[in-house]
Amino acid sequence: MSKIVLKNITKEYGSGETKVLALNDVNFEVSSGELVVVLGASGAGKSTLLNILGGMDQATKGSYYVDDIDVTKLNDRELSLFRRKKVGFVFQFYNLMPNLTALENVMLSEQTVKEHLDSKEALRLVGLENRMSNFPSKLSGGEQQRVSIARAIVKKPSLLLCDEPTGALDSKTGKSIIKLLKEISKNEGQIVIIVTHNASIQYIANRVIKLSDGKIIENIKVDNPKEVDEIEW
Amino acid sequence: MVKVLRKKVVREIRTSYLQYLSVILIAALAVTLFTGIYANYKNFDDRLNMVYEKTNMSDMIITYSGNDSKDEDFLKSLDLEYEKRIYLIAKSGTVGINIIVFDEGSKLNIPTEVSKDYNASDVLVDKNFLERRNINIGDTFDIEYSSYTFSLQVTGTMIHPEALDNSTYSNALIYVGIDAFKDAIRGMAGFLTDSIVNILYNQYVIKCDNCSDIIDKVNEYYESKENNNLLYVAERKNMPSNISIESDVIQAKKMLYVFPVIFYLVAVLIILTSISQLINKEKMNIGIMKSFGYTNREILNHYMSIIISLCLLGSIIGIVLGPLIIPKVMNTKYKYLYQLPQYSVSFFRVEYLFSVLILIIVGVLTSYFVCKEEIHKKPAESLRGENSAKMREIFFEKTALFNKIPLTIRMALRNMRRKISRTLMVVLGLMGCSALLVCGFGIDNTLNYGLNLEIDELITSDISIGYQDSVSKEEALSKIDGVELVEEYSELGITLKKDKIISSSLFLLPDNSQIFNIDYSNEGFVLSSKVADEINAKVGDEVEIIYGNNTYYGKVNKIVDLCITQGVFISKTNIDIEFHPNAAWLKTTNRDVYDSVVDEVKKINNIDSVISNQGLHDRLDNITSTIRVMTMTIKIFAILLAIVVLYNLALLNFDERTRDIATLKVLGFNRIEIGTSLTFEILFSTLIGSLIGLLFGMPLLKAVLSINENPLLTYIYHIDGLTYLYTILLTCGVSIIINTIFAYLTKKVKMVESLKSVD
Repeated sequence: MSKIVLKNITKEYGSGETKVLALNDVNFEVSSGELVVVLGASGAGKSTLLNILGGMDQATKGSYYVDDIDVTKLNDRELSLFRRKKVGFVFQFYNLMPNLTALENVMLSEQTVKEHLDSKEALRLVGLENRMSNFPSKLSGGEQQRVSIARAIVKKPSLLLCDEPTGALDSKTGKSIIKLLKEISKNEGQIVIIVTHNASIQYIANRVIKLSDGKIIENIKVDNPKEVDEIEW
Repeated sequence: MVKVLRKKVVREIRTSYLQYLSVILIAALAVTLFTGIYANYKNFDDRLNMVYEKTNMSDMIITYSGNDSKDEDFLKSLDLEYEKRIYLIAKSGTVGINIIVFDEGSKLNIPTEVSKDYNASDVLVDKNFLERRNINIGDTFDIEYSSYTFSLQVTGTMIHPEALDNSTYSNALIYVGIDAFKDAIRGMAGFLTDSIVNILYNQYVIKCDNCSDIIDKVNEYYESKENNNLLYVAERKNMPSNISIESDVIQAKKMLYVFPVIFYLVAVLIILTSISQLINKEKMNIGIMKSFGYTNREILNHYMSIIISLCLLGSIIGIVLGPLIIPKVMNTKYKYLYQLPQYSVSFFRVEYLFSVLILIIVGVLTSYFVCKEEIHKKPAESLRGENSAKMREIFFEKTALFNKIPLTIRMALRNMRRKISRTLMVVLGLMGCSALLVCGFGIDNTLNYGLNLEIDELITSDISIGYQDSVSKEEALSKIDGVELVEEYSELGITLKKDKIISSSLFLLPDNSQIFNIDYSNEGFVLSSKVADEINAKVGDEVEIIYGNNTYYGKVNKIVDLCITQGVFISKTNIDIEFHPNAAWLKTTNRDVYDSVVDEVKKINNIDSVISNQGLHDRLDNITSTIRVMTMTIKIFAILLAIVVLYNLALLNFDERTRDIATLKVLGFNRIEIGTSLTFEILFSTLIGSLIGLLFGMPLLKAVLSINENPLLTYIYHIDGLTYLYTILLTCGVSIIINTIFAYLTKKVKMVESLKSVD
């Protein structure tokens, strides 16, 4: 049973007159199986939050716990291990290795941990069993994003972080990706956090967090989220 | 060019300076080498010419035996400026002395830097020789010449254009006024002094514009004489006194044709890669510029101007560094070997601009061919920014073996295939570097191998002696303390004939020599490889030896590699020539007695030359000193080349794979794991390039040594196994160091920013 807890997280960039407060006293908790959608305008602090959640950046103040580990106290090496064991990432522009096939891209992630799914199984889960030996350049945007998801879930992370996962996709493909992410959160019991501009996605979430100027302005728990097919894109 | 684009050029260079540093560096290296080697050659040549001009050095020389008034009439008929003089090769104790006797008012081949105003009563001695021997003005030389002995008292010092060679083994030169000379021999010659002096005249020094024509006429004249009294006629560059320095000038010039060429070729490779990289990055911008209405020419000019700016910047560095460093390095050797005026740096020579121009033309052409394709695309195509080349699995990648390779290594291997032009650049660059290193080390190997083989293995004498006559001195030599073994032999001038006819030496050796460790016991001849090559003879071939009025035939039994002693070797009992020894080899009881034995040998009458094994090593070290300086330069530049090529590749690789690196970091890979992937790619290319380059080491070595041929030394081409190992270790070492630095830099890759950028 995984759980993440953020207590008074603050992130500042620059100093003096150029100081920018990207996150200002952010607090929330998420439990396993929850699908969280983080919404906000550009510059609201969404990406900063995602970076801190993923251990790619450190908060200036506050504490961030994943399964009782205070991530803010970890050094570089420990952060690498944290990302390796606990976090799966899905990027807006997929970030697949162009020199590796779909299967190899997933294996790249599989080989970093001891407990993992089989890479072929992960690709089967995202519906790409017939495209395993293709290089990214031969896959469509939606297929590349599926590989990216398979790469993230193959190591069974506690936390699946998705940065605008549908941002580069058409509506039909985007919906299928969101559906996939929802199924993963439901079936695998992972925490899925989706950062997006797309307000439609909020209706399928168990929790919606709205950010403005680095502050949480809304943190709503949704008891009966909609199915993906029910939402307007 | 549009003003705003000009600003873009400056900003492009400023922001991506690291990327372009390699272009600047290779441009600087190529120009440094060209200008440096050229400056060295010009500087050396100018200084020599300065001496020649100052001393009114003759353009040619005729040496004859026996005065004939018709000879002078002939010279007069050619309407040339000439002087007649006495030139004697004498000795003082054990020191070889060349004596030039000048007449009052002599204007040709006059000395320079003379310590006093001089006239026909003066005896001037080479300044360097006096300093070396601790002799002072006022001291006396006892001279032995043929059967004459006389004394000359030093009245001043000088530098003479025919004695610029500083080396310890070259003879000293004494420039004697005719009055002083007559005074010196008067005691011995009495009233015959003037007659003897007249007989001794044996040289004409001549000024001429078209010397080769004059030489032809001189040869024709003497050959037509009933009693041909011509010993030799030579242009200045072939005069025995100047041949060494003149051939060094030629060698200095020939170096221009080898090394700069390699570096210019590498410059093409680096410019090619860098501009390809730039155009790849700039595809979107090219589309934008085209959509704004910029013409193809304006866009092309924009990118070419970046390369021109970089080449110019590198060239400026090269023009400054080249003339500053290379002549200075080479001058340490020239200063040691020759007496020349002070060396001065010259930064302004038209030829330097030529080297810059070549580099810029190379850069412009390379950039043009790279940009051409992209420039001619439609704006929409460029704006689409589809950069990723389509990947396809090749056969090897479908094998089980490939699937066992770690993924990070697979990525590296595929990246090499995907970026084939860049991989090729590293392979070619490292091939050049490895070939240069093998060449550099190989030259040392060749010199050491040849000398050690001959001196320490094949002809194992401790001391070599030449006689002035052909009378055995075995008894006297055996009596010297410390001498263990004396072997006399005879060296005869012969004509050797097979496919070609050459002049050579025939060595008549004692039976069962304990010093000459080559089997020559059978009938037939042993030939040194140089001589065999010259007449195109192989083992089993019959060759012809003409000695005096007799011709001797024999088969070639053996061909041996010798670097100093060249000729034909046979046992004295296997050929019908009367044996009169004119040389000897000695073995001593130990090395400590070398000097004392040499001194004792010199005391024996009619000894022409004597040199110990150690002395021979020193003399040969002197002869090969230019080459050894050059090998050091080759090695340094080879390493620099490796650094530039590998740095360029590592930087390009790092730049291109920043996104991959960031992704790997996000996936939890640590620095070592990421570094391994980066390092493997470059190290693998390095290894391939270095291994192929090893094959080119020997041809390059032969090319370099062929422009450094030395009449005193034949190169026995040889490369040690260790040289290949050192080369691989050095190239891979440089590669590992550079990659370790870049692997460390992965720490600085910001995961967040890299992941936001669009492919």
